[in-house]
Amino acid sequence: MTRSKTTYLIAGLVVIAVVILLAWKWAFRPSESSVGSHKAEISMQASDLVMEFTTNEESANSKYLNKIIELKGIVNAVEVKDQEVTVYLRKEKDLSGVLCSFDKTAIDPAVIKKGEEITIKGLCSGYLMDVVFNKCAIE
Amino acid sequence: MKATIVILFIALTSSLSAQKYVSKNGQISFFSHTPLEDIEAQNNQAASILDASNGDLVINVLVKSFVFKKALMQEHFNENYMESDKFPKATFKGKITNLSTIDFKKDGTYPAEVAGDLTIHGETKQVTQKGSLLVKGNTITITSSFPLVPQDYAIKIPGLVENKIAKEIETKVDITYNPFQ
Repeated sequence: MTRSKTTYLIAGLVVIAVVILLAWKWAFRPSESSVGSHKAEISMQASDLVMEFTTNEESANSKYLNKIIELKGIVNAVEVKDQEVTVYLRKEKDLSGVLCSFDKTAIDPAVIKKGEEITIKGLCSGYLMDVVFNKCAIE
Repeated sequence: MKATIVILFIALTSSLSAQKYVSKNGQISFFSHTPLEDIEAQNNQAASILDASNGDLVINVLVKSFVFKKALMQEHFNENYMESDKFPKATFKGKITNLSTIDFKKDGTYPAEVAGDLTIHGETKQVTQKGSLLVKGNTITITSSFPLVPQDYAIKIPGLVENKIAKEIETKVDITYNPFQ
């Protein structure tokens, strides 16, 4: 082969190798521990979201499941476990609230005070006894 | 007369005081082992109510709350296998069948047997399972470990990845309850 043909061949193989490597890395990429690096698609009051789920769960599911949502709410409780922290947003008079699950690396529980209003961002997973948000981040 | 009424009242309320227990952070995890790949996921937001007066036990989990180490696994799990947009929850609705052998007022570890309906991916199967029930003061903890077969719940595993997913998925339940106020 001529010199330039060999060069092209090698260059081509390198490009293919790099593409395969990048595809491999993408396929085995780790789960993000929080949605902190993403923009929220919706912004609302936690109590309004709770109201929608308790009124019509099916319609709320189709509106909010899988969405990254920014919520403003009152801290009712903070629970610290091994690998995660759960912040419970609930207004005093409401029966249900929003359980926001944070990876321990995404939040410093010491700065969250009961009774204060905070803004968080997370992925809406659905509704059980409360609305559940996963992979949360503080806004 | 007044004394009788008071005694009757106390008797009534003490029989009604058999507790309902609740948990909002139950842990459900599963593990699939094959020579080709190990897959595991954990859900820390299982919601459950246990009624100590009659043994009624309900456990609900959101499929989207299962966390995997690899992003693509979580995506496949939700979109292809569990179809979690269509079936967002998995539910167990049943009873502790050996309730009479458990003393909720006495600390200790009791073997527990449950029977009921398990609904996953829209499919319901009657199941019976053994586990452990720990009483510690006001707190109850239920633990159990059992296999689940994806095919039982109409979960379709494509031929391409058949060898990467175990025929029986080892499932663990670990739920701690507090009295329902």
